[in-house]
Amino acid sequence: MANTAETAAAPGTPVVRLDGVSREYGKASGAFAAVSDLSLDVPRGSFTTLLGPSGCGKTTTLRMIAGFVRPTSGRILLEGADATSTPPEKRNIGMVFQSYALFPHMTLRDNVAFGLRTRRIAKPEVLRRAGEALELVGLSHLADRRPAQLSGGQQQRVALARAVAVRPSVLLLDEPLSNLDARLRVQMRQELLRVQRETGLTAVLVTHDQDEALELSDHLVIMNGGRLEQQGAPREVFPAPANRFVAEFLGYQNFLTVPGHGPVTVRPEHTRLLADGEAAGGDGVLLDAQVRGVTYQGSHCLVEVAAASGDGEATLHCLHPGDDVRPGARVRIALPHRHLVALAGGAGTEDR
Amino acid sequence: MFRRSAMVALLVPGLAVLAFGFLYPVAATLAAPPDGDPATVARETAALLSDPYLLPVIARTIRVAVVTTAACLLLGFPVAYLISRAPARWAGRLLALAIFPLMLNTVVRTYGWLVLLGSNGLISDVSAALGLGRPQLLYTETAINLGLVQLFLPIMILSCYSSLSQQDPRLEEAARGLGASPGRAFRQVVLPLAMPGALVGCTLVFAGAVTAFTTPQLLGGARERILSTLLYSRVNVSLDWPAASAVALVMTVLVLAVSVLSGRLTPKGSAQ
Repeated sequence: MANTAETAAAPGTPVVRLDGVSREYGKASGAFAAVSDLSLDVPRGSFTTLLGPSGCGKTTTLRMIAGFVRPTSGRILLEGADATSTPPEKRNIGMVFQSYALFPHMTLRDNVAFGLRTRRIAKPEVLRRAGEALELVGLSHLADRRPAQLSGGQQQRVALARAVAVRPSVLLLDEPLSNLDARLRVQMRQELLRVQRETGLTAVLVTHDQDEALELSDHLVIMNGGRLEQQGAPREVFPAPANRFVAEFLGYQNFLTVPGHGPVTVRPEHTRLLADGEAAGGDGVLLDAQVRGVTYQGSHCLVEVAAASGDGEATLHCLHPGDDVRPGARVRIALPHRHLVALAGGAGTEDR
Repeated sequence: MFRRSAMVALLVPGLAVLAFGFLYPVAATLAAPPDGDPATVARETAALLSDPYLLPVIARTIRVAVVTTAACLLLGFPVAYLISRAPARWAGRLLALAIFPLMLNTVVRTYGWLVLLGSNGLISDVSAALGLGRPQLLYTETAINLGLVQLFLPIMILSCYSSLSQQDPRLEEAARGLGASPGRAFRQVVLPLAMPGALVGCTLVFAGAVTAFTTPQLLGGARERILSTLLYSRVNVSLDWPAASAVALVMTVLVLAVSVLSGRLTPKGSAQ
């Protein structure tokens, strides 16, 4: 299949640019902002993920990119051109819905060909490209079936084929894997990634699943309360969450204030639990603590302790390789400086 | 889940009502009319179908039913569509409003039309004030059509709504996203998927229009007879029961034909 869109703009132009976009609902009094002043670039060829809890504005953002929701202020640029008020059918998008949204009265071939037929493409070309798209997701042999005769996973692959068949500027994926069972969901991630790589399309995925986001994306955008909290490559964002909200959403559990560091977070596997009299070794912060609970997990124990930190007592979760601590024991916790992640104060916590 | 024997047992009361309340009277009407033998009904039916006075009544009945059905579909489908796409908190209220006329007695509703369409009615007064004279509105086919459309519109709206509300609104969005204009998305996705409900609505309205009595009796009168009012006068005025049986037979055949046609038109496997 050909690369990206048929109307490719200059290589440096982001495929999608949101410029101070807001979407408010309700009347002026008591208006609710689903998205507030969001500015964002989707790099060409990237797999960009909008990640956040439900109600964070990620789906509204995707629907604004698709054209189903008009921003109340701000601009949306597609391929460098202002598309803020362009209707969805003129945006050259390919959208995959959580509910699949396959046309139940059409065969798979007609479903996939639907977008090609609206584009005034010659009939043999339509059939060839629909066939190619079904081939891409491994369902050519079912082309004459109807969606109701397919499993959920197969239906989602048809929806994907239908979206990529039109060679869209951007592939929009609205929680496409949420309706699948856990095992299939993990399989389909790689399928999604493969199709995106093979077609060279730019993709924007909306999800609340951090594992999915980390596995799939090369550009991660974390949202909360209609605002962007942090963005970057997963490898940059994950080890260095900017604030407590991002840290919590990515699964960090330990939050404390350390003298000389301010508010920080640290992963359980980066803490060391020292028995009475054991030397700390290396530089780091040492905290006195009392063990509250021990959860045996085979190769290690997860130890919950109450530690004396800069702002009083903090609950910490520590990964401990041995099975030699019991609740009530007095211990010390060593936190190496290089694993302490400084957090911007305030943001996020109370929004959860 | 019920066991098979329980399922059969549950069918019995309904089937019994159908057998004694519908099948038996129909069979009795055709096979053994109150005063006469089956041959009389056959003779009366043949007479009805060749009587130059009665043929226009059959034609008018079909015309009225077709016009009523078409008008209800054209008026009702867009309303059903809008209600199905309205926010949930509005949909219930709008639907209640749309079916509110069903809660009024037919006679009351029809008298409303008498007041509006009468020779000293509102429309007539306005027309006269504009110097257009007083047109004959009451006891016309148009009056029957108006009354029947108002009577059956809620049924059409409900039938169409039942299909439309089951549609995933994402289907229409999917079509738009794939490059279809709103019109194209409507024609190729919304409409075909709403066909089963629309066809049920058409069948119900057609059957209702053919068999309705109060409305055509009050608004059409003796001047504009249709089969149902003819049947009434055969039974109650001329007391010609075999002729009444013949009229009933023609009406039944008409309704059956339309419901068979509608069944044929319903796309196979269209249930979502």
